[in-house]
Amino acid sequence: MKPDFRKSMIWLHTYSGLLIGWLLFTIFLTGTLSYFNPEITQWMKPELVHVSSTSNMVNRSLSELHKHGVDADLWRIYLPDDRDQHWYIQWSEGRKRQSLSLGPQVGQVIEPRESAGGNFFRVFHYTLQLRGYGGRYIAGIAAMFMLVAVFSGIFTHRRFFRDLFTLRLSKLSKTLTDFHALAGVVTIPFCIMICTSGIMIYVIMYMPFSAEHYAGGERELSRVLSPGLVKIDKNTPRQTPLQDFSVVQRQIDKQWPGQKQTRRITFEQPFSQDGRIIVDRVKDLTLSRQSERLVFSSHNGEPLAGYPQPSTATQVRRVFFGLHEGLFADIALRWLLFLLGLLSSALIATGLIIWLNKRLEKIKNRHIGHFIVERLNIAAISGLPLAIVAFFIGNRLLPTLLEDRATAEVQVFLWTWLACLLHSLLRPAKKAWVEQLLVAALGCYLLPLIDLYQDPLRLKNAIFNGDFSYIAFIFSIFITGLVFMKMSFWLKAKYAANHSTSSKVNTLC
Amino acid sequence: MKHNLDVMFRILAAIAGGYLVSVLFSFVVVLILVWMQATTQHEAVMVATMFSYVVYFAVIILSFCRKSAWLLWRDLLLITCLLGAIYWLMGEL
Repeated sequence: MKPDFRKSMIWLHTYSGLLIGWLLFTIFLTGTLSYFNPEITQWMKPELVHVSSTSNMVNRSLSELHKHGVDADLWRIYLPDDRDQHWYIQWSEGRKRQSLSLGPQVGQVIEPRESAGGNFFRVFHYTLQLRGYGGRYIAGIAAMFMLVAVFSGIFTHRRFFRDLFTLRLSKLSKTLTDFHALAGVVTIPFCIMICTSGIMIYVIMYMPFSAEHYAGGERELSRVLSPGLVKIDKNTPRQTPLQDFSVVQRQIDKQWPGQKQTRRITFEQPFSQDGRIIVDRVKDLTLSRQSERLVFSSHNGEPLAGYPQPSTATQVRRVFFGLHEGLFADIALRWLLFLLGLLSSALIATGLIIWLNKRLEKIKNRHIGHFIVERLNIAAISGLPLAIVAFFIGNRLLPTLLEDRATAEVQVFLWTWLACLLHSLLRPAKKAWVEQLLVAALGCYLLPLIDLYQDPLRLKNAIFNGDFSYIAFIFSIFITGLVFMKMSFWLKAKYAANHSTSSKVNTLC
Repeated sequence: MKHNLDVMFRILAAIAGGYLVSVLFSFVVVLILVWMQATTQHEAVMVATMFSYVVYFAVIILSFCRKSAWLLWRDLLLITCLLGAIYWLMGEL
């Protein structure tokens, strides 16, 4: 091992980063996209329309539930908000659950296309499509690696402040190193926050022994630390649930002043004497993952005893969870978090490229390891964005009535990614970079065009109705396309310049 | 070759040793917190598990900056023995 602390930290930074960098890049990029989960879902399901009036929504939902969900165990009403336009109801008996999306006109039922939506990125970034096969453990390990890499990375800086203000654009390797240092300094707090809170979400799952020994398992532990409500006895006399919600609404307004404070309304055992209504507040007022809840009786709207106060440790964990999800953030803070996420992804990507370039400059004969790193770099760094663009294109081009459409979209994503890996293996590295970036750029340009071709009214309506999330999506895609195009041309020019100088040297010799 | 062996022992210490030490830590801290009457046992489990990740992280960093792998393993063994002894003694109480 290296003799002094700093050198051993540099070694640790290099190899902890390299070993898991591709996975980290994937997790960071998809995780960053899920900051805009509802907006992406909205774009992917254009059938969802904006519902402006909120006054009668709950009663309309209730009348639909009375029509469809007789004798159900559970009713749920999800109300739309500024970000999420999806207004839908759910009713379930046992494990069978059905849902219905509602539209602004009276009695209107809308059927949005089946789509994985923005939620795909959210789920993918911590399960990697491997839920049940240890996906969440892999994500946890990756978070720990990132923490180690960030911590040891701090010690690689000799001049912390000078690094922050240096960016040399003359040579590819220098640009990358400077950018890596700059992005590293800027994103230190963000990375530490995101990785720590990510681990804290599954704090007991990753280290379950203490909980099993003292408390008899994770479930038992959380039951004691954050007690729920008493279980409802199903065999009590039958009662008809509330038809008119205004009784409850008045009490809610008194407790939670302000407009649009309700996010979700749950009826537990609505047809039972002891049935209850649980009202969840919106999440923008709390850092915690669990927003405030109120409980009422389901047939007369009388207030019932609420949830008991959870323990402090549980509340701390929920705040970590909330920090990770960032649902408290308003639009400006959300964009800041999003940009920091992108910068962190770029940090990881440049780190991987630097590792390879530094070694390729020094050696004559390539090792098989260099080949693997080079190809994986291409497949991850340019292949993943390409796969994401393909996922969006798939959302627009797959037939709307296709069976299992959401799965098909995910298939498009995974197969495109695999194709990128194969392409990177078959082509010379420099060409593979340029080509994949170029295709990603073209995909980005294609996306708004497809949208315009399929339904020209979408853009027009978005502009006239002030639908900023749609416009921002299209605009971001367009900018992304420009960035990829620019990068691809820049790389091509750099390679050409390098090539001509090296051939000049050859002729001089 | 010597270098490779050294690195291997360090990686082993960081990943397996670190996990072992932090699991032991999460056992012992529960006992201490309950003994101090700071919290209930269930809450102590949550607190101890949360802080055990800090220990894990510290062990990982320590694994790669200790002078030699032998010293590192000696340290880990001592910490394990210490935590084990506390666990045993407090269990007797």
